[in-house]
Amino acid sequence: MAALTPALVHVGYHKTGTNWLQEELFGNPRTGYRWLGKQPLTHPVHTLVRARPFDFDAAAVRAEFESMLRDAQNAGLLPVVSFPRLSGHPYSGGYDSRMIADRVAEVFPRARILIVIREQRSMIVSTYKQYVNAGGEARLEHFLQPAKQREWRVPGFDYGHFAYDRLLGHYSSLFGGDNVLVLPYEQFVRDARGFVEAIARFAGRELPAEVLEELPFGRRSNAGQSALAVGVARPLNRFRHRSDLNLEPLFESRLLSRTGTRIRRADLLGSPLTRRAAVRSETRLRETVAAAVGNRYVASNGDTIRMTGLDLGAFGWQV
Amino acid sequence: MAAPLIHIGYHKTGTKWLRGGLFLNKNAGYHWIDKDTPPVRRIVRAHPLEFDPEESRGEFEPLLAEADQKSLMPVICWGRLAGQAFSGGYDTKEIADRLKAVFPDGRIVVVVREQRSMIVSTYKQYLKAGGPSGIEAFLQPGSDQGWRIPLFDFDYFQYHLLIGYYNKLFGADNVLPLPYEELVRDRRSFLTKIGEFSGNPVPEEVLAEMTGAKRRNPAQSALVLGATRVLNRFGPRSELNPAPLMESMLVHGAATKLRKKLDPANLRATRGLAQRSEQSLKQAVAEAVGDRYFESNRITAELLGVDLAAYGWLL
Repeated sequence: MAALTPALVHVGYHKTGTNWLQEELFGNPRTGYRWLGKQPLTHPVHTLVRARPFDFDAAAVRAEFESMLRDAQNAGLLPVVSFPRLSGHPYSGGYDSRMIADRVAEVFPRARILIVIREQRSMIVSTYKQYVNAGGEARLEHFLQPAKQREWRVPGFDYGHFAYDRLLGHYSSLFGGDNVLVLPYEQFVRDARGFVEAIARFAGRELPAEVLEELPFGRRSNAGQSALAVGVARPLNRFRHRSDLNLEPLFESRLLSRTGTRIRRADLLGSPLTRRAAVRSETRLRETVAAAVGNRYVASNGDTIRMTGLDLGAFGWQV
Repeated sequence: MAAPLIHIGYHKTGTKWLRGGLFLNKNAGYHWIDKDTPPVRRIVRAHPLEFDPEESRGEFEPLLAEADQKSLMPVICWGRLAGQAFSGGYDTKEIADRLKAVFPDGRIVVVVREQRSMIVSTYKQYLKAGGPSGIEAFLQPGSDQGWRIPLFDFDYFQYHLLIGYYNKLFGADNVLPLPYEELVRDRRSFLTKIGEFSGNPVPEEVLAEMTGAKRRNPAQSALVLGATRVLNRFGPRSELNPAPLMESMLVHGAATKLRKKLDPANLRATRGLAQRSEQSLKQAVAEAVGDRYFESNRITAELLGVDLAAYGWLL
């Protein structure tokens, strides 16, 4: 039996244009790639994250992926595993990012790894908005410091999750530096075409020129929400259904929950009535995050630059 | 230098009693390495991408040397080393690997407890520590959760997995698994086994002292814990309660006092109610547990070489 083409494994991070890459690049057969998907919940990509530490069976997971890899190969497409949860989750400080990396290496030892990183202040603003959107109740200050006194009973937000050099170093040690491509999200924002071309070169599967031309680089599948809408809608999360972000709702109300959704989706920056308040709210949120972050990432960003050769300073990173 | 005895828990299996009565007893021949010292804490707290076993060994060396100089058996005793039930034991394997990397010759004691009783006790501890959820929500936190935050997980109490893993890492001869129920029924036997296993037999006067001692961590009644649960919504922000409705030290203080002072089981007027409340909690847990641990318990019984059914375990 012929050896299978090694997969491209895109591990995230969250909030770095992952949906666009999955839908427009890896999910479009004309590009020469095949995203192996993530549905349903029994999909083996979830097992990489969800299997309990004593239960994980790399050979069994590999076997589950095998037919998908073979189908992609038979169709002449490069298989792509793309799932940002593979880099850990910011709401729990990336507590399992190393364990997942080890699992990825066991299941796909010859894989090429793609990691997209994002400047930390902008990353944390976006992560917090997503947290409220997903039902989180805590205001920003409490989100950033989930407990007055940390007791290591339940992992919460941890700034260390965005010290990227740690995870990049671990992936390099597992797969070899040449098999890990790190790109900044800011490059995607500024030059999406160059960003896609860099991925294609690394994966060894360049896109036909006409396909590259047709890619909807201007489309964003996950538009950012305004800080004002997030702030106004947050208290209504106390009436949303119970989840790991909302352990004890006051009571569950579909009406109030839907009201919150409508507020979050409202274009408050676009409306003349709310624009000023929305801009002020956005500025305040960004300032609060910037003050909380301080210069804590300067050293880590320096290490990331040394490891990747990226000019992160030119993209507005703190270096 | 002597390899340490490492008592990893679980929580709610008499760990504090053992620590206070045996490992801190100056006549017992142990040198307890405080669980609050930074190197012990780091075994649990260091992020997986930061933990360095070499560095950790270096930090432990002077602590082990101190025990050596005093001709005492070094011991680390911390229930958190077996994971934490409130987050489903997400780091139990990671901690086991760290202990092996730092103390390759360590000798491990692990105490397990019948799951229904364990979960009742765990939930009471959760309420005491400020958790806001009712028992059903505690046992099934966030039905649609996307594995974003690890929370309670029944599988955490499949003890055979943890014991089997420690056996694999350290060798079965270096792992002593004991049932908590043995401690409850026969303290002398329980303590004697630990002493023999560690190569540091427990002196008779310590045995006498400990078999006659009172419990250090008495259980609180389900009634008072349940009644004060609503006050946890006004308690300080914590990992168990990350978004309280309002933080009020006054309400929090009142809740703590009520829990400490009030025991409805001691009041004639409320004794019946307290018993019903206890019963109802136990029943809810028993129903949720069902027969999910049968298979695991059978393997655990074999690993322990103990008739766990005789101790009331389901198997």
